Order: sequence, then structure tokens, then C-alpha cells
Amino acid sequence: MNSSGIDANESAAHRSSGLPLKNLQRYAIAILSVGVALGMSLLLEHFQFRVPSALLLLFAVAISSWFGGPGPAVLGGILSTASFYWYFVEPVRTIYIYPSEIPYFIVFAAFALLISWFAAVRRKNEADLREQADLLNLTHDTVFAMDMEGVIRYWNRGAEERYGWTAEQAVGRVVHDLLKTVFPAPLEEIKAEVIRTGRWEGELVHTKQDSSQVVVASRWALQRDLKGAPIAILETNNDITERKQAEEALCRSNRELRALSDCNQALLRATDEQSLLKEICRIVCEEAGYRMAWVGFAEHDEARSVRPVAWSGAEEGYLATASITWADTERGRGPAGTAIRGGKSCYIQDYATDPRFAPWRESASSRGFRSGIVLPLKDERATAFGCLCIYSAQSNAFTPEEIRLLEELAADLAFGIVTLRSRAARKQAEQEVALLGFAVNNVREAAFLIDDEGCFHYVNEEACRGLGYTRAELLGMAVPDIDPGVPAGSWPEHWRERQSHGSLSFESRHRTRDGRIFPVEISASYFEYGGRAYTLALARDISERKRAEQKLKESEERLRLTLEAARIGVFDWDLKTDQWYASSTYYAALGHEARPGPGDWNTWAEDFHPEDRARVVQLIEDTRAGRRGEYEYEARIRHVDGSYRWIHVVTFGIERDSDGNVTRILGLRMNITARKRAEEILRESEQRYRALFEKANDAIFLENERDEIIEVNQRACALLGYSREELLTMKVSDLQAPEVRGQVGGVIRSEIEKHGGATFEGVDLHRSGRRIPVEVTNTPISDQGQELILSIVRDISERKRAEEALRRTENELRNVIDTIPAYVFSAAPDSTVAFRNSPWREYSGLTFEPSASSWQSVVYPEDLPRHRDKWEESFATGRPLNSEARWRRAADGEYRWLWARAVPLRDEQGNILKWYGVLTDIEDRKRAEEALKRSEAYLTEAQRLSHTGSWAWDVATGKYVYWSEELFRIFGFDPQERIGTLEEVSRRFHPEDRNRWKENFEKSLREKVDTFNECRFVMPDGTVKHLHLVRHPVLNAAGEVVQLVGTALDITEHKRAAEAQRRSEAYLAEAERLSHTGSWAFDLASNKYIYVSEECLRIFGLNAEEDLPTREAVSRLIHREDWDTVKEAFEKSVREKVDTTSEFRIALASGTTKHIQATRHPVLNGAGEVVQLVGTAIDITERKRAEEALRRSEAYLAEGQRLTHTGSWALDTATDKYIYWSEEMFRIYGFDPKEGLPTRQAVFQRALPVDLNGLERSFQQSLREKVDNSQEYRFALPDGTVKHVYITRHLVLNEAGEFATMVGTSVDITERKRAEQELREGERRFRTFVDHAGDAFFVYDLEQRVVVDVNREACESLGYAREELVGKSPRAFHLDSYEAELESITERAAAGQTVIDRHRHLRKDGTMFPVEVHTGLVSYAGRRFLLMVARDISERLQVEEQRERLRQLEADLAHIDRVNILGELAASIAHEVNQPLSGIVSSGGACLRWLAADPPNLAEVREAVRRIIGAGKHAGEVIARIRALTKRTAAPKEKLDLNETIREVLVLVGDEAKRNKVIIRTPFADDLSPVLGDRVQFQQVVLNLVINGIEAMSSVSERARELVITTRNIDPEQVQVTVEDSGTGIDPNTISKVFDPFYTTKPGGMGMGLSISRSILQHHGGRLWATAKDGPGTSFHFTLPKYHEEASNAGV
Amino acid sequence: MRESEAVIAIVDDDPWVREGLSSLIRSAGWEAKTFASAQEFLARPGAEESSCLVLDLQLPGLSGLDLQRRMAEVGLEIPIVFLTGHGDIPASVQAMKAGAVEFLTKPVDDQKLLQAIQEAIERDRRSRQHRADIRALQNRYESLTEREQQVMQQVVSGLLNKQIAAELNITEFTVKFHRGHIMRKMRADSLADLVRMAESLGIRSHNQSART
Repeated sequence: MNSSGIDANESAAHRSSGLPLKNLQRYAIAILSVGVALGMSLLLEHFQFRVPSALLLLFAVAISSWFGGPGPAVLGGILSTASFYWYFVEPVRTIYIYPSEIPYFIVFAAFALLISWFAAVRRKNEADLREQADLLNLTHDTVFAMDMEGVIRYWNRGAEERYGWTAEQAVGRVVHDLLKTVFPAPLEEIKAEVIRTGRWEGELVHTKQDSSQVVVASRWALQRDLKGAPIAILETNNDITERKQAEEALCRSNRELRALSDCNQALLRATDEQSLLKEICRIVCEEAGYRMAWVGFAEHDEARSVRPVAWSGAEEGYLATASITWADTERGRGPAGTAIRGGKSCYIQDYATDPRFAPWRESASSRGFRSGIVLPLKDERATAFGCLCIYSAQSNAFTPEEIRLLEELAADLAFGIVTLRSRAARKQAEQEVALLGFAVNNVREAAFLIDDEGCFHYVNEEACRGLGYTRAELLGMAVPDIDPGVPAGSWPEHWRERQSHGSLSFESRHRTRDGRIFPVEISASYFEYGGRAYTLALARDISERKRAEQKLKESEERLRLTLEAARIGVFDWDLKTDQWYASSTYYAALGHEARPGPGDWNTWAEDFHPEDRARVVQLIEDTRAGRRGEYEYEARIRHVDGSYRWIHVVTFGIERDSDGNVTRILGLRMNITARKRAEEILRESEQRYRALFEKANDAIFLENERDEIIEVNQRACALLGYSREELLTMKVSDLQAPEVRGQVGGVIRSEIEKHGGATFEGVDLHRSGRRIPVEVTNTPISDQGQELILSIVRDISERKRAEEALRRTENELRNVIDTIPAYVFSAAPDSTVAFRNSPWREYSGLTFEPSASSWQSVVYPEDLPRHRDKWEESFATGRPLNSEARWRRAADGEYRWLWARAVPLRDEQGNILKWYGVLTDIEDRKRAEEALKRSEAYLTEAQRLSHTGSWAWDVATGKYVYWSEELFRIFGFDPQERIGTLEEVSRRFHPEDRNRWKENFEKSLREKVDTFNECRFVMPDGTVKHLHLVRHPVLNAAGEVVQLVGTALDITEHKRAAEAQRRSEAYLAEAERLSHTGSWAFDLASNKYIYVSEECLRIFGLNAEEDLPTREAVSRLIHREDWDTVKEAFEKSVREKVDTTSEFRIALASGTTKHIQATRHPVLNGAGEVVQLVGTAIDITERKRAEEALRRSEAYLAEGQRLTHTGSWALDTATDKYIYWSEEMFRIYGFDPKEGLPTRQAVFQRALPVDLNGLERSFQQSLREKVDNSQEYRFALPDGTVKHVYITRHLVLNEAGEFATMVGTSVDITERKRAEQELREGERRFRTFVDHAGDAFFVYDLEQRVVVDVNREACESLGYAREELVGKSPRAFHLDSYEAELESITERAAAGQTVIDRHRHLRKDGTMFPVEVHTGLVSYAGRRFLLMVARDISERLQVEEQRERLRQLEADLAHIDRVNILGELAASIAHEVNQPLSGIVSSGGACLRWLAADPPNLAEVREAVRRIIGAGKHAGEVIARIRALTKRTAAPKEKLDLNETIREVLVLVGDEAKRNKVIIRTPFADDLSPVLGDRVQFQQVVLNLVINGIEAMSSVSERARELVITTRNIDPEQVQVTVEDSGTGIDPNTISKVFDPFYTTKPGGMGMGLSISRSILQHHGGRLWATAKDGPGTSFHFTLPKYHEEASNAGV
Repeated sequence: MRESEAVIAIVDDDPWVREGLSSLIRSAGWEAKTFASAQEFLARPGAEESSCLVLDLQLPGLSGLDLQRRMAEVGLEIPIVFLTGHGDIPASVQAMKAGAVEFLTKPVDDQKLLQAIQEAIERDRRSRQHRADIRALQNRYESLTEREQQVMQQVVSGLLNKQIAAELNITEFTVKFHRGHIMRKMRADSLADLVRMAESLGIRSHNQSART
């Protein structure tokens, strides 16, 4: 600025205007700066930087002089110099100046002075400038200076006043941004001009701080620097705003006048409204210079919106978002709304501030609207129908003058619109009248215009045609002349009704000229016109429909009756509306009265059984949600009485929408409870027997005559090792061992024939070839006419094995025989009794001496001949003896029933060697049999409950003398109390019926006639019963009435049904909707509809608000399938100039389908060419639907029947001919529908001969006794198939109360029967198996805690009758604490285990027997049962006892043997104990010594003590082993490592071997599998073999004495141990003898060792044998089965 | 402490006995080596260095007596202390006959055992000393020339110089000369001394034998 070109005078005064304070400040700066420099220097000094201190001080001097002037500069200089010397140059703290340093001082001072001078000059220039500014501030003009970038440098007071910005605010900002300058030309150009010419003048618009604008005349002057480069612009502005506004107002006024004139011209020229409006808007914007103008019409819709129809100017989407309304809301209180509501123009001078415009402010301001006016457009009645809105870019744009002009314009515009509209309306009306005339004449309905007197004012052609009059004739007639339903007198009343309803639709009848009366449906509208009242009536001939309805009704009725007869409920469910209709049978099936559909689906679902609910609800939900259209399910549902009934529901969709989704469903619901129950019972039974069959402990086979196996159980498969499938392909003989095979065929069969069963022992072959001894019981059974043999095969291997064991110890057996409680004898072939066991001798008192007939003395004399005969016969023929007789017991002389059995023992040639006989005490059984016979009783057949109550009333006493049980129920009296009196009964009758009842009652008494009537009877709980009462007087010989007897039939259900029927009729009779006719006109030239009536649009579902539909739009609606015919008809009308009619379907946008009947009529021009088509469209959907329904009704019935195999029929009882057969009927009975209905006789002839009589009889009975009945019959069809048909008959009353028709259903239940049959056969078969099983079966119900089923064996073994056992708790026969065990048994059984226990069972006679019970858990029908299979194990126990005794003996022997061995080894064992003992002593001594050492060697001591412990343990183990070997009792079997077991025992013989100089080698297999067994016993075996080996080598000296023990796995199942010696060997011929007991080569030996060893190994399932070696010596081998996890479980 | 250099070998098939004995012997200050069988003892190198052998009578395979016999056969002169589980008289007699130091019954008294071992060691030490003397003598003998050895044989046979000279067909002087050498080399103080040496070495005169 110091080079500014402004001419300013230097002013000393100004320079010295600084205050004294300022001087102080300047000096302070100097001191401060030097101080700071000094401080910094010291800081740097501290860090050893010396040089900068001078520079810093110099810099401080410079600062002092620049800001402070010369004075401070000098001060700074002095201070700096002093500091410099003082602190840095000579830090001696004295001022001592060398002359040589003087120049430095001078330079320093000069420098300070120079800088001071510069500062002085700068300050002077600043003062000059400030002075200039003060001058400029004095002027009121706006003056400011800016640099070339526009940044304000100066801002005078005038500028402050004008713009409102203070100088402080303005300076430094860019001027154009601050003032928002509006330039007349681009700024760059202006700048260029300024630079070029040095000045510029022009008008600018500036914005003040308060946002108002100001127009200024601006003058710019350029300032240059000395070199002439531009540096600043000085701008001076004068306010010329007001002048500008005046100019603008004038200009606008002109424009508006011109616009008005243009508008008027436009109005005159306008032909249509839209273009007029557009033109006006354009003129307002373009000519009058407004920013935007639009015309809106007030809509009378709900939102009262203002619909913009034309606009011009800067609209930019404003109207689309403005959503202007004229309702009295916030948006409606804007200018447009106010104007339309108030009818007065409304203007807003400034949008920015006016609150009314708030909603649009933002969008308006963005489009530059500042103010606006809205002018209402008024019609001739001065109501505003729209508005003209004008927006200006200026605020306050509307002066009163301007408003007046605009209002004028709006008024003209409104007038123009009204004129145009009335012109268009007239034209439209003319056309409509013409078309309406055509339409009315062309509709298929008769149209009548009737005045208040009933006279016709107008009739259409259809009316004339339909009634047979000419139009002229009709016009002279009145309504009563053609409508017999309206008599002449009643017209005024009729008229009033019409007047009150406005429009009305009803059905009536019309009479034609020739007197024919036909039903019509009339829709009449009442209206007033020209001061008179009229009715326009449209009458349609509905004869056809009536007929269809009638037919439909009949069909429905028949369907209903059929379904009712078949107890099938029907429902009809509209998925779209969720509406529900169901037949009365639907509800009646569950005991409900009719109720209004499911309605609340939740409660509806609650009726289902909890187990079925989720499934059904899911189905229904799916259906309702549209995921599923058709469904079928069986479920349980609660009857009102609380029980559950099985229902079967089948549905099928009967209506679908255009996407094919089902929208309406028809369903059938059948009560299948009885069937389900029967099935359930049968299934349960079948399952139970199957389970029993499978769980049987015996193998069961069922064989046919050809020996083929046709059924086996699991046990059989397990026994023989075959799968079930394999067995079913095999023959019985395949399973038998070869030697048995021969016997079975003939002998067994003849045996069976003779004795009705046979039991024999045989040998069966396991799959692996193993022989299984079995006991087979054969029982012949007859299954479906086939002779089968049921073989119960019991594995008697165990028994056989036991027998084997027993034979070996025959002596013991003999003892056994003597001790068993059975009576045994044997006889020589000559019948001499050779042996009697001691019990028998004891019983009979007979001696042992052989005699032929001594026994005869002890037989009961009565039984003796019979028994003797049998005895002799047996001995003569060789047949087994089987005889029951009473024998005297020697002890008390009592005769007891004994059952003598004897069988011959034959040699190989078949010669009888001996007879063996057993006498069994069957006294108890005999007694039980007696009891059984006595208790055999059968339940009498349950009587059917009569639904009719009967009573008798005694005249003499005036009291009821008899009420049947049913009557108690009907009347609701308690049968326990007493019979009610007449008075009590009478009180119960409904008050309205009471008198009639009394009258009838008395009438019967008085007139001695039967009376009957129906009465309502009120139950105590308020429900009403309908009773059909019949009374019959009983006369005595004198003809007097002595008693009244009668019945009361509860017909409440029937009444209810009748009620429902009536309601249903009302439902059907609901009137059909009035159908409307639409009319249209189509212009061929433009290929467009030129007229479409509103009704027509409604029919087609088109929007009346839109333009007329195009042909394409209409054709799109037409159903594709119908399109061709419609097109063809349309073209035919055009081509052949004829009327055409066609029916087609249209699909509306809403998804519904309508049926349309369209008529087309060509309109010709003068030249005879077709120019237009006019026509009508009638909505015939309803009619079509009725037709469709009729058609479908049949189809549904057929479908429903097909699904349920139900045929329905109707029979005219008068002619005995079928009048109706559903399609299914033909299928069921095998008739050809083409041949027409068969006669009843033809159908009946197809019944099986056995059923024919019953069929005829029940049919006749139904007719005669007038009752419904139902029965099952079998019919043989011509193709040979037999069908089971369930026929239901129902008699239908005609109006006269006679049975005119019999309707009924025939249900094909063949399939069901077959299934039942199969089930029953299976059940029977299994029952046979179970009954023949040798084990006793019990089925125990875990819930009821009783036995629910037993088999024959169970009864026989326990001595009860089946009836006695069933229902009992097992406690009755189960001795042990069964109840307590039950829990654990159930638990284990539930885990899938078969629980095997032993118990004792108690016979009825109090005796006990041991049983083995296998218990398993089975569950069926959701219930759990314990299946207990018990087997009498008395015999087995006895055998086992024997075996046990034998085992004991063996164990004793084994023990003796072990003790012997140990005796032999005594020396060796002593050594084995002595060794560790010796170690202990040595270690002990060592230990003491180590301790005594100095210092004691504790490590050695510890080691020694450890050895002592170890050796002690070792010795202990040896002793324990010896003790184990000496133990008598058997150890439990365990899993053993054989190597380890052998090593353990070898310790004992170590010394023995050493002494004999025998080396024992043990090449054991490392991977030897474990075995299961008794360790001690194995060790005994090994000891035996080792000692034998050592001894065998005692005499050998010429070779090494070596004993080798090897172990190895020889196959997957076994391990083998071999002990080889190199001794003298055994003679191969006697090698097998070594195992015989008491065979010994040792002088002191017992000869039992090897024998016992062999028996031990056999017990373990192993083998022991000896072989001679190739070289010297003998090998002993033994094998053992490997250990298996499951084997161990079973074994333990 | 006793002669700590003494090594005692223990042969017993029973580990408890073996280790117990070993510990006991070590506690007495000797070194102990253990062997599970006779075979092992024979096979293990250095076993023959033992001063004493504690030997179990009952051993698998080669028994204690067998081992004793075998050792005698191969000239292994280790004093043996026998141990046995059963005091079986014929076996003990046989063992003692064969030169066993002691025959003890298990369980053995430690004092007795240690005494026996001590005795055995003493015996071993003596026999070792004796063997060392013989070996020194032998060495000296070996250092004689062939002629000198001949002369020495003659000398210890009691022949006169003259006789020797005649015998060997050499002059008497030469005999005397050889004799002086022999005395010096054999470090014999007197003829008697030399004779004793010759006895120890087992030297016999040819003539003498020939004569007898």
C-alpha cells in the first residue's frame, strides 16, 4: 500500500497521534526482544553453540527498530552489545572496550538505524492511507476498493450503510460473494474492459446483509501501480432500485393487457377444452411474463384434490409433487384450496414469508417462484369448479390493477370452459339416447316403462315378442293385464312399495297373449321425471332357470338323502372367503346339532384326538393357505358324548382360479368308527398272536401236505441257522438227519391220523451240518381247507446231552429212578413186570419179584378190565401203552387216577426187548378237567338296544305298570327310582302339546282305538325331545279297556334333520342377483370403441374414469379358448351385415371369471356399408354358474362315490323299478351303463345263492315295516369275481306321508373285506400256533396289570380254564414276588432284552412246579404288554440236579488229583519257597552290614530291603498258587491268558525239572487269544501233563531231557497247547487208553490224572488227546475255544 | 578293609538269591559278579579272574557239580563255596572231594558264608602266589641255553661233573663252566636250592627216567 496511487498529504499531526503508552510499548518490545534473544543464546550456549548468539541479538535489534523506531532500536543495540560482551565475548563482568572493536559498534548502530528508518517510512504511508479512507468515509456514496482478485481492501461508511456490512466484516472478503452481485455481463469481460479503458459503468444488482436486493448504478475505476500494472479497482455505486421498480411495473401492466387480449382471442377460437386451457396457460406465461401458470379442476373425490389439467412455464414436475387439495386441511388452506372453496382470488405476495404457502415453499423456491395468485374458475351457478394459478418470479408481483386484469381473464376462461362443456355434454347425450334405444330394444329382457297407474308408457321389442302382443297393444294395457301376480286392485299398494324401495328386484309371473304363464324375474327402478313418477321394469323369462333349479334341487335332495342314508357328511368350503357349509349328517355323525361351520378353526381342531390333531390341522392350514387343494385323511374326532369316532374325510376341489389353484372344496366325511374298531381289535389280536408265535421258545414250522414249510418263527431260524426266507423254500425232510427222514413220512403221518397228533424225537441238521436232537410235536390243523401240520420243534440237545451223561452213570440213574417221585416200571416182552422203582413199590405195595399179574390187585375194579385190555393189547401189538386208571395207594388205601404209559424198547431188528413204563399221578388233572367242563359257558349274545321305549298303563289303578329301560332313558327318569306317574309324565310335555297328548290318551281310552301323535317332551335339563307316541288299548273279554300299552319313539334326530332340510331349502331359494345389460358402440373406421355404457364397463371390470377401452384391452380380457369364436362372430357381423350373438368368458383383473352374452348389430351408412357395430353385453355368469353347479353336482356325487366305492340308487316302490343309479353302482354290480338301468331282480340274481334269501327278505322287510336297514351281501359278478357290498336302505316320504321312493347306497367293501379276511386268517393261524405251542404263554397288560391272554398250554399247566386266567393278576399263579420284580423286568425288557428268570408257578390245585420264564416287551396299538413264555422245567431241573451231582463228583476227583500232584511236587515246591527265603536272609544280612558301615550305605540298604519285599511277595505268590490248587471249590470262569496261566504253574515244577535234569522250553505264541475258564483247572491239566512228561524222561540218559510246551492259535475259534517230552514214549496201540480212568503206568499213581484233565477240558468245550512223536517221546495236545465277549456273557 | 581287589563270582539261577548274595558280599568289601547259569559263567570273559566262586548246586542244565568238574578239566583253579537248597549228602561229599572250600545249605548264615569266602580268598591268594613263583622260576629256566638245560637236568639228577661230562661227551671243565652259569642264571644259592627249583619245575633227568 505504500505505493498506492492515491494522492494523500503527509501529515505530521497524524504521525504523532500515537499515545505515550504506545512509546512505552515500543521500548518494551525492544527490551523483550533482546531479552528473548539473550535467553535463547544462553540456552544455546548451554548446549555449546556459540556462534548464533550474535546473530540472535542482531535479529532482536532488527525487531526493535522495525516495530519500535529509532529509540528502541538504539536501546536494543546498546542492550545487545552489552549482553554480547558481558556474557559471551568477555565473560569478565566488566565493560572494557577495545579500540579495535569500535568499528563493530558502528556497524551495529548503523544497522539498527537503517531498520528504524525503514519502519518510519512504512508508518508514514500507512497514516496517509488512513487519512484518505477517512475522507472517503465522509461521502454517502458507496465506495469500496478491491484488488484484482475481488478481495475488498477498502469499504467506506456509505457502503456500510447501504449494504449493512461493516468495514471490519467486509474487508478481506471477496466482494462478489459478499454481495451476490448480479452482473449484466460476464465478470471477465467487465474486468477486461476495466483493464483496457480504465473504467466501466453499468447497473448491478447487489444483495444486502438483510437479503434484500438493491439495484445500483456502478462506476468502476482502475488503479495502477507505478509500472502501470493494474493493482486495484475502485467501485462507486448509486442506488437506483426504486426507479427500476417503477419501470418494471409499467412494463408488466402492458404485458398483461396484451395477454388478456390474446386470451380473449383464444377463447373465441377454442373448440375443445384441453387445447383452450393449454393455450391460456401458454399466454399467461409467455405473453404476460409469469414464471408458471396452470389450470386445475376441483375433483369431488374423497381427497378433494385439485387435478391439474393444463400448465405452461417452469413447471418442472412441480404439480406432480404439489398434491393440491381444496379440502379444509393444511394443504387445502393454500392459495388454490382457499380460492376454490371461497370462490375468490387468493394471492400471496411473498412465498418466502407467507405461512399459508409453507407446504410448497421449498419446491416453489427451487423453481424460482416468489409469489403467486390463484383465480377461481366459476360456472354459471357461480360455484368454483377449478382454478387458474399463476406464479411470478418476483415477490409482491401482484398489484391491484394486475389482480383485476387477471380476474377478468379467469372469468373469461371459466366462461369458455363452461360453454365448451355444455356443448360436449349435449353431443354425448344425443349419442347415448340413440344407443340406449337400441340397447333396450336388443336386450333379452322385456323392458316396460310404467307410470303410477300401472299403464305402460314404453315397451321394448323383447316385451312384445315375449308376451305375443304388438307394441301398440301393449301400450294400451296395464301391469295387471299381464301379471297375474298383481291384481288390478292391488296396484296402488304395489306402487307404493316400489316408491319406497327405489329399485327392486323380484320374481313374478307373466301371462302371454295366449294365456301361457311363465316365471319372470323383474328388476324395477323407480324414478321421477317431468313431475311424474315412473318405474322402469326389466322382466326376464326365467323358465329355463327355474327348471334347472328344480332339477338341481331334486338332484341335491337325492344326494342329501343318499349321503344321509350312508351317514356321509358333506361339506362345502369356499377357501377364498373361508365360508363353510355342511350337511346335517355332517354334524349328526358326531352328535352335534347343526352349527355354523368350523368358524373358529382353533376350537374346531380341539375336537380331534390329540394324536391326530397336528396332522389334520396341518392339512387344513395348508389348504387354507392355498398350499394344498385336495386332501384325504382318517382321524379320530370327539363325539358329543366324549368318546372318539374315526372319520374318513375325502375332499376334492370343485373350483379353481385361473392359476389352477383350488378355491373351493367339496368334502365327504364318513364315520368309519365301527370299521376301525373291528380292524383295531383284529389287528391287536393278530399282533399279539404273532408276537407270541415269534417269541415262542420252541421252533415252530407249518408244513403242508407236500412237506413244504410255509411258515416258521424266529426261533426256528435261530435253531437251524437258516434265514426265514431260506427255510420257506425248503422241505421238512431237508432239515432232518438222513436216518430220521425215512421214519417221518409214513409213521408219523399215520400216527397223526390215529391220535390227532404225534410227538417223536428226531435229529435235525443245522445249516453247518451240526446235528441237533429235537423233539417234534406234530399237530394237524386245517387252514382254509388245507390240511397243514404244525410242528413244534424243541431243541433237546441239552436234554440229550444230559441223558448221555446219565447213561454214563447208570448206577446213579438207577438211584435217581428210585428217588424220583414218578412211578417207573419195566416189563419183559411177555408182560412180566421186571422192575418197579421204589416210589412205585411204595405206592402200590407191590414187591420187586417179577410177576405177570400181581399189579391187577391194586387197580380199581371198575377200571381193571379196561386197563387190562389195553395192557394186553399193547403187549400183543407192540404199540405204546397209554391208559388211565385208578390205582390203590397202599399207604391209605385211596384210589388215585394214574396215567400209565409204557413204550417198548426194540433191538435193531425191531424185536421188543423190554417195556418201560411210567405211571403219572393225574388225579389233580382229572379233577381240573371236571371243573373245566362244568365251567364251560358261553356268553349269550348281546341284545340289541331298542330305540323304542314301551310302556303299559293300567286303567284300574290309573298308574303305569311297566316301563321299558329305553323308556326311562327317553323320558329321562332314573330306572333305579320308580316309574313316573301319569301326572309327572304329563307335566313334562311341552305346554303346547300337552292338551293334544291328553286328548289322544283319553281318546284311546274312550273310543278304544289306537292313537298316535307327535309331541314335544321337555327334559329336566330343558332340552326338547320329539316323541312319536303310539297307544293301543288292551281289551278284556268284555270289551272293556283294561290297559293301555304303547310305545314312545324318540324322533328328535329325525325332527332335527327335517329342520335342517327346511333351512337348506331357504338357503337354496335365495334370490339370484339382478343381471344387468351393458351396451357399446364400435367404430370400424377408427377401430375404436366410441361408446361403452357404465354398466358395460362394470361388467368388464374396466375403469370408468379412464378413456374408453381399446379393442385390444377388451380382447385381452376374453378367455383364450373363447377368443376365436368371439372374433369370428364379430367379423361375421361386419362381413355379412347380420346380427350375431355369442357367449364367452372373460377373466377380470380381480381373478374372477364372468360369462358374457354379447349381441352385435351392424350399423349401415347411406351407401349400405357397415360403419359401426353396436351391441350389448349381458353378464350371464349367474346363469352359467347355476348350469355349471347342476352339471357338477352330478359329477361330485359320482366322484365322491367313486372315491368311497359308494354307489347310490333310488327305487320307486310302487313300480319296483330303479329310477336312479349312480355311475358307481354299475361298476359295483358289473352292469353296463349303456344298457340302461337293470331291473331289481337282475341285480338280486347276482347275489350269492346263500345271501339271496336274506337280501330279498331284508328288502321286503324294509318295505313292509317301513324301516331303514343295512346289511352286507356278497354278489358274484359275471366275470366270476365276488364282491362284498354293504347296502343301506332308506325310505323317503312323499308329501302324502307315504313311502314313495326307497333310496340307498351300495358300498363296495370287497377290498376292506379282503384285508379283514387276510388279517383274520393271519390271526387264526398264529392263534393255532400259539395254542399248540408246548410253552405256556401269558400276555400281561402293563396298564391294567392283568393277564389279557393265555394259550392252551398255560391253562393246562396251571389247571385253570382260559376264562379264569384272563383278567387275573399273575400273582394268582406266580409264587415269587412278581410284583416287586415287575419293575426291573419291565425296564430290562424295554431295553429290548429278553429277560430270562426262573420262578415257581402255582397250579390251581395248589401244587407248584418250577418254570423258566422268558419275558419280552411288545407294544401294539400304543399299549405295552409283557409277553411271558413259561416252560415247565421240573424235568430239566431233575436232570440238572443229576448233572450237578455228577459235576460235584468230578470236582471232588479233580481236587483229589490236584492234591496228589502237589504231594508229588512237595520237594520242588519247598525249593520254590526256599529260594526267595534264602534271598531274603542274604539280603537281610547284607542290609545289617550296610547299616553298620560308617557311614551307613543307605542306598544299598534301600535296595536290599526292596529285594526282601519282592522276594517275600514272590514266596507269598507261590504259596497262594499252591493254596489255589488245593482249594476244593470251583472258581468262577474268567478271561485268561493261557501263557500266563501256564507260566504260573511252571514255577512249581521248576525244581522238580532241575532235579530230573529236564529243561522246560516254552515257545509260546505272543499273540495267543484269551480263553474263558477256571484258572486252577487249567493249571491242573498243565501240571498233570508236565509231571507226566518229566517222569517219562526219568530213565533217559542218552539224550537231552527236554520238555517243550507250545501254545498257538490254530484256527479262528480255538487255541491249542502242546506238551512234548522226549521220554520213552507210549505204544501207539495203547495211547488212547491213557485217558481211561484208573489206567496207570506209575506204580503209585491213581490213574485218574489224564481222565480228569480230559473231563475238565470237555467242560470248557475243549479236547485233550495224545500222539506219538516221530522221534522218542509223546505229545499231549489240548484245545480250548477262544474267549468271545458274548460267549462269556451267555456262559456266565 | 579286606583285600578289596578280591572278586567273588556268584552263580545262582534264582535272582533273589543272586542279588542277596551279591549285596552281602559287597557289604563285606569285596567285589561281586553274578551269573544266572553255569554256562554263562563259562562263557563270560574275565570270570576266571574271580578269587572265589559261590555256586548253587541246583542249576538248570549244567549243575553246580558239573561246573566244578568242567573247571577242573580246564584247569580253572577257583576255590568254590557250594550252596544248596536241600542238604543232600552224596552231593556234598562229591563236592568236597573235588576241592570245594565249603558246602552250605540255604538259607545260608551270612557269617558262615563270609568266613568261607574269606578262606577261599586266602586259598586263592596262596595258590596265586605259588603259581607266580613257579612262573618266575620257569622264566629263569627258559633263559638257560639248551646245553645248560641238559647240564642242569644232569646236575639235579645228582650226577657228578665227571659223569655229566662223560654223559654229554664234553670235558669236565666245560661242565663246571655250564654249572657256574646255571647257578648264576637260576639264582640258586646251593645245589639243594637248585634241586628244589627243578622239582618245582617238574624237571626230571633223562637218565634217571631211563634208568628207572
